[in-house]
Amino acid sequence: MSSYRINSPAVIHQIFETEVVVVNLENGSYYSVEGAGIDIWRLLEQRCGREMIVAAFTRHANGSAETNETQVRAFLDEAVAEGLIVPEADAPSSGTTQPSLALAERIQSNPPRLHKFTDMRDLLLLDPIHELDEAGWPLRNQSLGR
Amino acid sequence: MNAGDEPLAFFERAEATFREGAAAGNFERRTYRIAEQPIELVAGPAYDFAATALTHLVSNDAVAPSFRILAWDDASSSKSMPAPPWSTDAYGVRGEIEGFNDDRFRTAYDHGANSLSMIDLERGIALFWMRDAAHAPQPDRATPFRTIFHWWAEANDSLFVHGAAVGSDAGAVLIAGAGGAGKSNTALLSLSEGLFYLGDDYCLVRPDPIPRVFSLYATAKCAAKDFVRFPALESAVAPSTDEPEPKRLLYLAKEFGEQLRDSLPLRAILVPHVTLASDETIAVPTSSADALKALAPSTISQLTGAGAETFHGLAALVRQVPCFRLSLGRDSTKIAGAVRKAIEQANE
Repeated sequence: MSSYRINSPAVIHQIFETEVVVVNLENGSYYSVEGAGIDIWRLLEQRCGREMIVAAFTRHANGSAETNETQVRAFLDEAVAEGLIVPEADAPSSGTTQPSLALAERIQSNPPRLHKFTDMRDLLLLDPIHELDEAGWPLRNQSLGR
Repeated sequence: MNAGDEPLAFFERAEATFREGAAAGNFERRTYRIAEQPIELVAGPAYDFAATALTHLVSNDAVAPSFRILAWDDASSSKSMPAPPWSTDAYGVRGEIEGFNDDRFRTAYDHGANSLSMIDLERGIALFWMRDAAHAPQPDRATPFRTIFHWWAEANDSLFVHGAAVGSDAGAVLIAGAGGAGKSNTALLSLSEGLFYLGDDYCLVRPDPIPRVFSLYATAKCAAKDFVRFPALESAVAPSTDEPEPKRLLYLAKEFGEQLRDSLPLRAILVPHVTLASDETIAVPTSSADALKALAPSTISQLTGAGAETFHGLAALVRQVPCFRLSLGRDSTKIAGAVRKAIEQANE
């Protein structure tokens, strides 16, 4: 079974009771993970695989298993698309999960959410350097005047 | 030369250039007491703005400095800075220079200011070079040597934080938030109403054993449209320059010296939001995560080399003190009172 790893060192995070704050150092975007996303993030931190994470929220879900699975897979896909986590096809899952009714109910009442903030991106030099002076030092980038 | 020797070799070449300029020119040598440490600044004549920003921390103690900053520029120096030994591909997103950052050295180029910062942590010396310091952009005149102070703080169990700090005899609050959140206006309104002032943009925080905030800059920046609120601060406005200046720059030491404090115990973190929902400004408890989102991204994005260590340091800090959301109301005369109340509330 393949696993995920949090995309460190580019991605750093801090888990709080009601939220996970995630920062992507490479592009300045930062994120708030809420709801059952906090539980998913904890499993990602343990390097649990995709199917293992899905199972944690569906095994005891009874009638809502399909909805729960959709929620979990959507969250994981979004996190991958944002570069926050990286699938590792050849790496076995090293974490363990405890599928529970509590997890299954939590995701129903409080689905995983990933809020993205991009207001810091302007402070980073994301474009290559175009102009140098005679000695080879870069010329001022007015957009980074701060 | 081994790749690992390059930072040392370049540092030595750059320092030699500084020393030639210093020998030929009228460089000033001043000692400051910053976060309880004696720090010496030796700077060329175009760096008066730095001396003004730090003037409230000048120390006359006859003690050897634990750290030195050597600052110069090409425009007023007899010798030009040596060419960079790295390629254009070496510049990282925060200006960090690949291959010139290791356990001993940090190197970064600020593309907004055309300045190079480099530190030798082993010797306790930092170099700061600009092409033309007389035309330093406003952020550098308000908060000089930011990158160097960040590196120095990190090496001294402290945090260089993007935030304002004001306080009273009961302690200080750190006001966190990105540009436009109301951070500077809250700090200046607090100053106008008699609170102590430690900074409006960047401060130092030493988290242990008890969080304490230290002043670095006796300056403030205020958007021109907001300045009408602060007629009492008119005398502190810095002379205008020929650089584009979106904000008024204020040097506060002369007119407001009695309200400046070198440090105060940190009692709380405030996260201001301009709501204008009512006349009143109110502080209500908020989560540590909310405070971290206000503090960490803006601090990290603006500082070279700031990453996991800074983030986790800030995460620990927001768990150490109460955090409040400060909903800024329409009546700006009530904001300072709400700040005072939040300090008292944090002390309860």
